[in-house]
Amino acid sequence: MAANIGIGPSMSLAQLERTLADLPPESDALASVKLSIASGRETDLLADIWTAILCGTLCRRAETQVVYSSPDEGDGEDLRFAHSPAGLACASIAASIRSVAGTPLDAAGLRRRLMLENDGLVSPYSDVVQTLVEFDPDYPVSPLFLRSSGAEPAPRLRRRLFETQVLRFRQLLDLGRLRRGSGPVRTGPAGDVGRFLAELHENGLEHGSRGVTGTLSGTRLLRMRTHAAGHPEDLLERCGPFRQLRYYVERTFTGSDPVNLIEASISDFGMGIVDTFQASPAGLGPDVDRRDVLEGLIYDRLTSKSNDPSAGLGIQKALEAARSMQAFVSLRTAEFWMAASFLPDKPKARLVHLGTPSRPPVAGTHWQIFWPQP
Amino acid sequence: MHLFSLILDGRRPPIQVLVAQFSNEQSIPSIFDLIYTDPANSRRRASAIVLRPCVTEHFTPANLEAATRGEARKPGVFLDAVASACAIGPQAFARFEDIPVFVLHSDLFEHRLSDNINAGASVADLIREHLGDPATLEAIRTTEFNCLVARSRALLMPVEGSYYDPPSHRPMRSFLRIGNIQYSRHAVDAIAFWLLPHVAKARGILIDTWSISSIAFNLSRILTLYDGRPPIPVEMLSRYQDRSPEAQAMLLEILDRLWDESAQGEGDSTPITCIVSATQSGSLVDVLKEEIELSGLPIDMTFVALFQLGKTEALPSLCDRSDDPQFAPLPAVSVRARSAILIDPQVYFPLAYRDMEYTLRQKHTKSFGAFTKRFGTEGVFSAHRDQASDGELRHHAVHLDMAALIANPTFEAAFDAEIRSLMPLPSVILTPKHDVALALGTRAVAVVASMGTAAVHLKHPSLLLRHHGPSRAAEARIRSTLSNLSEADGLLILDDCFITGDRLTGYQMRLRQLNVRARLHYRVGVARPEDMEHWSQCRAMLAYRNEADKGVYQDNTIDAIHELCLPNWQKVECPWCAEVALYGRMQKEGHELPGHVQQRLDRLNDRDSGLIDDLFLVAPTDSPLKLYSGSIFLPPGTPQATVFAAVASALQHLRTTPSERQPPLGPRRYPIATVLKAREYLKDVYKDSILRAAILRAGCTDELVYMNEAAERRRTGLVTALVRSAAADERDLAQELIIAHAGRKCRIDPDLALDGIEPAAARLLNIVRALD
Repeated sequence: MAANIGIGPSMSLAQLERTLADLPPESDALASVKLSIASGRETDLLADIWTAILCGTLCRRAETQVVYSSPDEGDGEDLRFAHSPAGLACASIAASIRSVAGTPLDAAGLRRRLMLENDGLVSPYSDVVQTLVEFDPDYPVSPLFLRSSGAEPAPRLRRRLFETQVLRFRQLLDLGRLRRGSGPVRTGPAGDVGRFLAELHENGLEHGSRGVTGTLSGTRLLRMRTHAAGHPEDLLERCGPFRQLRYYVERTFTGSDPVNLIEASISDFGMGIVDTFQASPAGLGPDVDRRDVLEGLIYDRLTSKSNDPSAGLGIQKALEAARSMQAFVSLRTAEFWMAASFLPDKPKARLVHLGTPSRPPVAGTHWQIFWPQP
Repeated sequence: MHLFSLILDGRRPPIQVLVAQFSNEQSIPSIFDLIYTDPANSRRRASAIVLRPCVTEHFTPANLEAATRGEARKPGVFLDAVASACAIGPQAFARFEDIPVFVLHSDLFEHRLSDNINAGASVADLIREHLGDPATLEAIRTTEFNCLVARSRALLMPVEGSYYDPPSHRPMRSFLRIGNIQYSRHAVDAIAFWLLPHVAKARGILIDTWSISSIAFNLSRILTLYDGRPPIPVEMLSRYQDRSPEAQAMLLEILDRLWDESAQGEGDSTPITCIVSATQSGSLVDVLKEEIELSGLPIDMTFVALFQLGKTEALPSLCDRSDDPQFAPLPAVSVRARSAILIDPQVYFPLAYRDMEYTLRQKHTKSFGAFTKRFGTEGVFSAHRDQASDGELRHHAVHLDMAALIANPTFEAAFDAEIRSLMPLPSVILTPKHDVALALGTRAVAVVASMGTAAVHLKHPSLLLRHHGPSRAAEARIRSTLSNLSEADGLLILDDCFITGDRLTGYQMRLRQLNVRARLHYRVGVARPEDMEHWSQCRAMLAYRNEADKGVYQDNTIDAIHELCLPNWQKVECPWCAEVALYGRMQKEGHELPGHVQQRLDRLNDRDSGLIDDLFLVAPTDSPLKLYSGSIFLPPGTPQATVFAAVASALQHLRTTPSERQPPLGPRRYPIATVLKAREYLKDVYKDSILRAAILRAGCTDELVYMNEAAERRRTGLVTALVRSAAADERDLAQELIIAHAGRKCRIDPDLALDGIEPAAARLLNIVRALD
């Protein structure tokens, strides 16, 4: 069976969720799928991440031929798509990628170039968006986190290097640095974003690259982006149908001055935390409600590292960091979408499910965090 | 971070305790996170954790207790951290939720060990007794000093046929270079902590050698912060006190100066503490007392030695190693038969390295040979392989496929016989939840059933049974089943492998917490520790039964179907991960990999299937390396991975088997470099390229490279001759030699012309030389 699926320009988050729901189910044996992606100006916050989620999910289900197009034809067009979250997701798992004009994109060359020449940094000089990418199995760790010999350092040092990289990203994206006379630092509530992202990045490295029988080909992303607006209302419009995020923005920006919201996303396109856990020896079996499994993984120290009584705190530690930042957190994995606003009057907030009974399933685990830039 | 573990064996059974130094920038949860991520610790075998505050913070037990209850108390960073953690509750202790946490602190110059501050963890009587034993403080102190010695490589090992000639000219088998232990701020703070009782009243410090001056100056600084006294002066003896007139004159001058600065115009006797780096006979005490008397200065000098290396009552010491055979006096007749290694009296170092050569012999291969004789050579070993189990994904340089081994008929028969021999037969069988353990558990249940006994199979990875979360009902059933066992019952604890013993000791600790009284039978498929001594120690610890449970059975039982010594190398030590990193470096520096090397990289990036007959890089025109007949290791045609495992096992024996004649093979310990005899594996004895390649992969740099320049030049000559050899059975090693050269395990002559060697080797060597 073959299918054609299209992602139009400027699709909203709601439209992308609907398209996810329309994807052929996993049980259908698809020989191949043609996925057409027309890029354009994004409307909603996170729409580009959701496009990547859609691409990654489809590529996991079927051999996917990706065809991209853009209204702005030009020399850099292949890079524009290749460097988008969707392009990066496709670069490791799509069967082929070409432009609408038929020019193939050399995915292996793209991966090699990004990792060997750019250390996994996609647009190193941008002050709007910074992306760090890693590809399994050939480039699982960015050279930024390796020793000079190319060997992997101890996990603690790798984590420290990762947190330093997050700080560099924040410095690059900090629009108000000159006005305030000081830049981002590792300490203080905003410094906790490094901890938040490091915990989830480690999880992605450990679990997001594994399938039932071994290592999966795949992409793992850290993306940080600024969302500046002349007025909070402008930002609210870009929240689209994401009510919980809209509520967070409303409560966070109460004045009428220009505002700047920072977004950080950690994504992998593996089996997702629920299925990875269930496939491990620690899995609870098919009779246990998957929603209970997910909540157990987040709050009850369920872990596939079940032989280690000290393990299973990573997500809780990440959420503690988000809580101290008074941030907004969203998690999309499998058939679940959860979110929490850690506003000052809700210090004990927990992630709650968005939508019932469930969402269309997606591949991988995708965390997003938002917080206001001072 | 500063972390060490010790075994408390003042009571039976012994327990393992982890001691961690708290730093003022930390919180209780953050220090637990650091312990959790520390790669070198044995946290999972710990029955208790001991935290020590910063050395400048002192408080009473009442202050600490008030902090745990959130009550008003003396201010202090550590006390604040404890108060904050106890206010948060179990979440702050979540990393070690069922492990009691004690505090080792000073209380106005007295050392104290607190009660448990982790309210969520119960303290078993055994742990309470161990931690309450007055000897425990001394055990912690001694272990910490020994740990500082080991980490700083302060101990210069015995050298066969030689003795050390230190400044005192008393011949010694080993030499302790005390200055090394000042290798970090944590180290000098730790020493200051243990010195506190000896400097409570001190107004000056005298040290016997400049080489411990960091300890003394740090102590002076700490005392100011500790009790607010002004910084006290530090003086040091600048040469060995040999009672010569020069030394005597210099000493008087030092005493004058020290008294002048310490006394500060007061007329009373001035208390001064003399810190001696190491003492053999305590003779310095007499020398100094005589000189003080001679000087007529009103000095009240007290003495303490950091290390005591001989029997003496003259002064107390912080670490007594006088019973250590390495410091036993050398009889004169023995000294005459040895050559001296002179210790420079100024720098306290020997002046040159000595290489000690090691040879691989049949006796080192016996243990591995027994394994292959029993279970065959095929299908069990692979290299450079990831293993997903019920813990974190582990990478193994040498992978033993237990799933394949347990299907081996010989193994099955041995396993069944072992289960049938258990006395009493188990009514409960406990296994982890990974596939191999489950299969072993199922088989054990069937064997027991065939003997007319029904056994319950419990599956749990750690026996940490929680009262919350989705598994609580199942875990409650496990708790109930185990608690109902009587001392006459048998409980079989079964796992596939023993490597570090983390799992079995974790089970043991929690079975104790659950007060399980059954006779415990610990069985593993293969015990493959890095050091067989570690396996023996664990066996002794696990076999012990509480006095109250000895009514029916005196001990527990522990055994393995087979024992084998193998290195437990993960990513950092894996020779193939190093090869991947090398190719990554080549690419990063803009070199295009030759075709066969690119294929090799793709193969090495697959860590799931493991390398079996493609462990070694060869030129595209050469056949894979193989073992020919007549080897002491294995029969011809044995898979490469098994050959490598055999060589790795033999080298591991050399690294871990104790010998009175020579130190174990391993990292350089000044002034000794332990190296494999190069002529044996590059020319005369091991002529199969596969064995040469395996030795180069399994040997570490320090074990292969001579410190003696001439010897290393000769080795370079042997390596270079092989690279340019025209003989097919030597030339096929060229690629592996180039990889070894890139990893600094050997050196190919930089003058070797590329056009004189095989083209694929020339291309690879050209790239490697560009990286040099």
